[in-house]
Amino acid sequence: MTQTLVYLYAVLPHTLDGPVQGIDASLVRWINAERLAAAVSDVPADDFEEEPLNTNVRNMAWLAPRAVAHQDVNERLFEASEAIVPLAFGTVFRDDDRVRQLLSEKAKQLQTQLARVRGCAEWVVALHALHDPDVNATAEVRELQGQIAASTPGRAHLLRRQLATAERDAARRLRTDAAAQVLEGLRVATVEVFEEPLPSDTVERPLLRASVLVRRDAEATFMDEVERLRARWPEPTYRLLLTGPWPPYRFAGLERAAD
Amino acid sequence: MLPTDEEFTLLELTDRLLNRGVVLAGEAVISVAGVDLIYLGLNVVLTAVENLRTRREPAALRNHDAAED
Repeated sequence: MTQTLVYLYAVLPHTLDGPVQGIDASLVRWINAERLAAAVSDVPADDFEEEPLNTNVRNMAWLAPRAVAHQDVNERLFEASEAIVPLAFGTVFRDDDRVRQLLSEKAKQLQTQLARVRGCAEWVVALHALHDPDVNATAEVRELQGQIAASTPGRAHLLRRQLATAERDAARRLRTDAAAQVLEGLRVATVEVFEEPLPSDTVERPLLRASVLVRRDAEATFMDEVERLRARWPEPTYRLLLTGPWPPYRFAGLERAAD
Repeated sequence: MLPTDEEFTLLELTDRLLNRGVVLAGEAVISVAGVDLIYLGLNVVLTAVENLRTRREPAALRNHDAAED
């Protein structure tokens, strides 16, 4: 008989009815303790023991369908429940007792996490600068342009170099300002905002990347605010990307500053 | 290249599932430690994105674009 391990998808306040298919077509089952319910399924030890698992996650052909299955499970549980702590891919236990032990030992923390995200979904917003913003309206640039127009050719040449610097600075300020104001707008329209680290230089770097926690019954208001932000910082200069609603992968895992 | 809406969804989801999602560290007997090591560059992430996309109807990974509402 093939040895199996216990794969943990998420922790919920209670068990849900109905079959849910998990990784490798296994059925999701429930482990209960401390008024918490862990959604798990059995996975082959040959693939999910620490050593093979850490090799397998580097193989996209192996990883992709299983990551998708993981997300499918959490998506369904998320849609069917008021609160969920969704785990990252690859949290595996030796047996049910270890999961029960986790629920017991972390009961208080898990209850806090569930309370934090109850009735909420996670969304992600990114603000990109597609083109240089129009800097001609800024005071410094305007003044230098005026001076250049009134100067001798020699002095104008020198001033043009200053102008180039002033234009770059102005563009940078406008972008920083756009990011700050979008962040501020998000704070007003959401329960919580987490400013994500920006991706490395190899990626088209956004001006801002933020996860937000939004009450599901206030999604329409949130969308209105996103539209307002899009209209305020429109294409083709900027682009505001939005994705969601998701299980709260980020917010259920964040430590509260006050904790 | 700026990601498309769909790529953005998959990139962010990949980031959460495999990189900085909830890991109850130290509690699991086994957990994927240092998965982020595989995300050294965009190319690897985009490979994952492509793989996810080709194996999947886009609808299942929900991409809610407000502009289309």
